[in-house]
Amino acid sequence: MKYIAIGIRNEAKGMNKKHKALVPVLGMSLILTGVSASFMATSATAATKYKVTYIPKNLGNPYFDAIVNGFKKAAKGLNMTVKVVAPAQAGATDQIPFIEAAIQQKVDAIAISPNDANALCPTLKRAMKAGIVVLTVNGDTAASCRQASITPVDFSVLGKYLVDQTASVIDGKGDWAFLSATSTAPDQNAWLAGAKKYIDGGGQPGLKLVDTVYGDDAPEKSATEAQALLAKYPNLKAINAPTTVGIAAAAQVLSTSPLKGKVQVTGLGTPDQMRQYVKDGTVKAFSLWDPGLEGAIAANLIVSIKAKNVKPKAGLQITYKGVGPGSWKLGKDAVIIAGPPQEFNAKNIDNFHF
Amino acid sequence: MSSLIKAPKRFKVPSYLVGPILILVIAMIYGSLGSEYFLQPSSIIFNTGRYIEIGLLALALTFVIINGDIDLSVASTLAASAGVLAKLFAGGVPIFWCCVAAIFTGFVLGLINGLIVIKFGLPSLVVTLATLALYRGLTQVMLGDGVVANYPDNFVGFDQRLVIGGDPGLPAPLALFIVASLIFYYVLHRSNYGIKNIMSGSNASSSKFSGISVNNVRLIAFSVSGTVSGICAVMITSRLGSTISNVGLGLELLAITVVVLGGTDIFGGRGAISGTVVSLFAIMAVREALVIQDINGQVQDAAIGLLLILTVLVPRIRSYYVEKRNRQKRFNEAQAKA
Amino acid sequence: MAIKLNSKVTYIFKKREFGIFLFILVLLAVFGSIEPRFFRSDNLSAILSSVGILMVVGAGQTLVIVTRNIDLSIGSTLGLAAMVMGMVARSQPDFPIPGLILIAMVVGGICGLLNGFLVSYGKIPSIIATLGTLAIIRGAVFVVSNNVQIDPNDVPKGIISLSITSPIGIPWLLIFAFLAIVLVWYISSQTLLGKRIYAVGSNPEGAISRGLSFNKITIMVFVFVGVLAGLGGVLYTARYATINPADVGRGLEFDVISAVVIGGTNIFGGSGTALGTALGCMLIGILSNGLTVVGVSPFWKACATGFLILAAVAIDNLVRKKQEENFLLAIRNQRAVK
Repeated sequence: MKYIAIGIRNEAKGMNKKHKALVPVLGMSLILTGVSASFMATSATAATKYKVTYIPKNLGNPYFDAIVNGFKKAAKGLNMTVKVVAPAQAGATDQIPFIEAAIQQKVDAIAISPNDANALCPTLKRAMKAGIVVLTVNGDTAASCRQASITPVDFSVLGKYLVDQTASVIDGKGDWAFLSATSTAPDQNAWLAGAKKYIDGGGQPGLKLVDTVYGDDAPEKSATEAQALLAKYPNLKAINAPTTVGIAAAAQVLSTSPLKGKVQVTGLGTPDQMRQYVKDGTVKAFSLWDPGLEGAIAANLIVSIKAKNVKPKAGLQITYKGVGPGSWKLGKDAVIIAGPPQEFNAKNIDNFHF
Repeated sequence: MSSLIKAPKRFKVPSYLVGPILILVIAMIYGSLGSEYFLQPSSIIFNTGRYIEIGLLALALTFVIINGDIDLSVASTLAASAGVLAKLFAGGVPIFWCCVAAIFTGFVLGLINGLIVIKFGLPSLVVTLATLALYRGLTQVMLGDGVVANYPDNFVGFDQRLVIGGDPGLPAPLALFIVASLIFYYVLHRSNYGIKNIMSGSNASSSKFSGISVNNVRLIAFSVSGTVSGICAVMITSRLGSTISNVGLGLELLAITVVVLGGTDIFGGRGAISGTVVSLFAIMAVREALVIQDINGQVQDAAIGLLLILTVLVPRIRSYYVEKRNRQKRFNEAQAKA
Repeated sequence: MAIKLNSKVTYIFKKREFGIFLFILVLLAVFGSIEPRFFRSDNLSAILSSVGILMVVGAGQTLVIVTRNIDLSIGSTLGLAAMVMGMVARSQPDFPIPGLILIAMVVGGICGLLNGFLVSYGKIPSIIATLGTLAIIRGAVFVVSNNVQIDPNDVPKGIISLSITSPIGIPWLLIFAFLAIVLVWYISSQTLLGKRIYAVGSNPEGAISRGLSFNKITIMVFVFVGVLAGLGGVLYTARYATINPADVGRGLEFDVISAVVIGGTNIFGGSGTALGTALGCMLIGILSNGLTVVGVSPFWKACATGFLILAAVAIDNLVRKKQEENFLLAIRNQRAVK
């Protein structure tokens, strides 16, 4: 038994073969991966004054590409380089490694569109302690974790706006449902809360909100949820999806369904993605705003804080010439509202491209 | 029992460690090229927190896999335990007992896995595939769409706690992992149970005939896996400060990657804790090095996938051709003799 | 030594697939009685559409599992095929539809070829190889697409129409699903190749010693599932119209493997039918849709899937044990008679 045991133990320690070939192959492969991947990474080698890392919710979302474009355009004139990195999935904590990397790289500022209002706080606070400017763009975290927040529109009234928008496409009467993003998304949750407050306060009495479902910003799940709404509620008149992934999925489901035109789809979406559905009659109208504006404001604000030592707090007035409305007054908790929402419909959709 | 096993006289790096160690070294070099702060002890140590959970899961999985089984449900067990923790906490139970309940939940769920596999004689791949769904579903039922946050301040931020103070100090999760690795090492390579485990994985029927209760061994492995998942649930909740229903989604694949990269044979019977430990650090280094180079999440995953394949591929191809050459040599020798 | 077969009718009843079929009928009855809207035509067609993609890929995965392998990378393969096809369609809007479908299938086939080589000549266990390629191919989707998704605008009307209609009134999507199942059925039961595939799965060593080219069959099977995953990519585009590099096909492998296992295919290879897989897909689709329509919280879906897998495998196991028992008894009785 003793010797069997020793034998087994040695067996368990693995094969006793030499691996001379292993060394160069592994080394080469890692180097190859790194080299080819470096070519794909966004460039960060220009010697500019300000280094900024922007972390959107996840990759491959055209909405955030629009923010990035606005950011980069403004950055050009501000002696700033913007690096964009993001996790593979919009999970609550998936952005943390990228924040950590930015801290290590001693960037001047981190702009982030957070996937969760609380989970990133410890890491963001560490960034601020290290002297890095932290801004949240398009969505917010708890106020203590960032210096300022740039919201695309007035979140507190967007909820009401969504309800009114639904009313306008179904003539003020009928059952409707929300198809939201992930259940932890701070931006969508803020709007849903605003909408509920408006309804509870007596807004749009002819409308009845029958359900709120979550599509997780994933096309398959959003489509399944939209389909389920259609099956569950026979009197459903509209689906409002305040997320670009959700509205496209719902529109696709309806455009190939016999209920096309009978159930309206509206919400927030990008013109490029929704053009098709407006043209074929599935969608009467939907809205968004100019995401690029948020990026531009963020870039300018970073320079203000870093160069002119501006301290963002409620009541402060900032002015950036040539950027959208041009001037903003910071609200409570240093929140900047970029601009008003823009409605898209068959008449004007061809004028917008993002 | 310790007289039974003597350490080898000459220190030789075991062959299965060559791969992970190489990856670790190259990754650290690559990462330091990207940022001069990469090799600083403080940045290294602060970044380890979120990988420790995967490391602990991998340690427990090493047991299960060497045994000849597999446990795909570790992440879902973690989620369900976290769910129990959150639900109890939201219901007003003191945080300490919530943690105890979470760990106990993990133990029970792991035990259930083991019981189903043994009593029904079903393959562990399929059973844990089912419980992966089942336990995740339980988590979703418990937590729904909601978030549980507002954990007490002295509970949150476990990953920032230093066991040994100073700069950089030793973060608590890393300390826990070191302790856990030592315990697992001792159990697998230096104790009765460990030997039984390895033998059951190597050849279940002959082990049974040798008097080893293979079923007990497997049951213990599954229970340990579940308990460790429960512990990780507590750690994750402390690190994040909040709990939602998709907590830990996808961790099982990463944990399996760590185990296999460390040289453990997926079919059982062969493996070592040292391999798992080194491979965890290697993967950590690769990920961090890629993040410093601003390489996005998907490409990072792809790199890890590539390394996984290479680590398994190269030894096999090498041994195949060595075998072939030996066979040829023997054949020639036999020919020469004749 | 002839073992009496019962009459054809009772033979059908004893078949595994019939059990699933019965269960499906029961579910339909239950759901329909609670909520008659379940039977509404658009609801039923939605079920069929969601199941269609699953069936196409599942048909391929069945053969893979029959050969004692597993393919975890089909989701990523589907994504890459869809993305490449989408990019071609976007840059050349007049590209013929059959050409696009061909491109997708070729891309899928190439991915399958990679898997096949890794598993056969590389001698990497398929679970590890496909775990690696899952990440690598997903990374490729990102690199190829440069993070830009395909909008519904860019998808030709012809492709979208695949999910809606066809010359004979049933959407092409369903026709493809049906054809895939029939093809696999044909291969497995009517061709010599099929017999060889099953032989390789049920007894690999025996099969090799009889001269079957183990490597060739493995590669063939993986290429087959890759091509079908490519076709699945086309159908995905037809159904959802948006191809996002991060989301397309993610998580598909879990659903497909669940459906295949529920459909009666043994995870250890050697047995399984296309019909079973088709029924498994239908079961999952009906359950998923039905639970939502009836009003059960969607969070119970994962639990339900887990239970189904467990039940399916447990029943399979019991039935197999009984069959073995009966067979041995029959032999013993025959011998006793002699």
